[in-house]
Amino acid sequence: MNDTGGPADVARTFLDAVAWAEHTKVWSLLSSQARSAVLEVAARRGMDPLLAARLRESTAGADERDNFLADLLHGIRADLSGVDFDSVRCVCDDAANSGTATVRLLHDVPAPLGGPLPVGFVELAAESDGSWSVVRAHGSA
Amino acid sequence: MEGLRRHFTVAVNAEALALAWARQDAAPIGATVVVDHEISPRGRLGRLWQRPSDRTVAMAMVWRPQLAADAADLIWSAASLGLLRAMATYVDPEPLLLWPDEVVDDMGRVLGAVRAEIQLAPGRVASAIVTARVDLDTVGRPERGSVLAAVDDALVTVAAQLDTDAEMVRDACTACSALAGCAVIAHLLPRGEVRGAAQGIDASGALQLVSSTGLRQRVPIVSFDRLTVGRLPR
Repeated sequence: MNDTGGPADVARTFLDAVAWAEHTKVWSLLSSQARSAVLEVAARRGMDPLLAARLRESTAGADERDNFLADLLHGIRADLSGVDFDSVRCVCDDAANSGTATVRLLHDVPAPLGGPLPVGFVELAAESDGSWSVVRAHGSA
Repeated sequence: MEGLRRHFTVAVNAEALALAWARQDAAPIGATVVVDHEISPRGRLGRLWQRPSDRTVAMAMVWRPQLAADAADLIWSAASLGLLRAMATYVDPEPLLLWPDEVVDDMGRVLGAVRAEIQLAPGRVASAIVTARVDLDTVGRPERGSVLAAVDDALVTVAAQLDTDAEMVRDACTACSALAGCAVIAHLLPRGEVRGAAQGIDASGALQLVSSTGLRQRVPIVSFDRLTVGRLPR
């Protein structure tokens, strides 16, 4: 389950959760597609397939889950390493009728320097219950 | 105790002289170097102590704690605790520890700071030079000799406690922490940050942060740059 806000609100919540190491919240904000992709990459990099299955089914032990999500957090932070979590603005340009939305992460700079600077993006997908979940986040626009 | 203290009017810094004493002349535990005027008073990460030397008490002491190498950073905590106990004589309400190296009053003003130069042997700590500096102005301008004696006594006491009951030292540091429960952002070296609510010090002397979802993260001194107090997310 995730926040019931729009794409920009969910992206903001996701960034805060990443910044403050709210590991289970980050996991819950990811779409099922994104979770599968994460576990697939982990398995390709040597994760025990049985552990991957337990994580997929939410039957992993707390330590196993925490270790995995701590690594995931580090990875997401590395991807977002150029983003200042405190000052970045989340802007969603379109109404996202297609069921997907891209939220741009903007860092405000003085107007003479060209206005808001894009520093990353968060892609989201609409769930069947109308909420939004994170598919992908990256630190370069 | 006379043979355990060397006094210099001017020196590069107290730590350098204590280190030389420890390595070249096998300085005993508790050997102390006092310097009136340090030319290069360096603290953690080589940062300059910014207070004028005539309003600073600076001393360095030789410790030989019985600690495993992976618990070496506890020396920083113990040194801070010693300085805090010495400062408690002069400051009311009781001062607080600002992990890993500062002692502050209830307004957040820095009363003093420590630095630990740790020498390792295989698998254990061989010796450590603990430097303590006190800002006399912030402490209320007590007499210099009195402060020196208080810091000396407190450091000797806490060094002995570190040998006999390191866990007690750790708990005492946690109890006196200015950060307890605060949402903080630990800026790391060479880059990056860790955020969470401060939960004290772990067995290796690292700061423990815990997130609202219960994830524990540790901040070792070696990769710690500075700390800012943050605001929990909405």
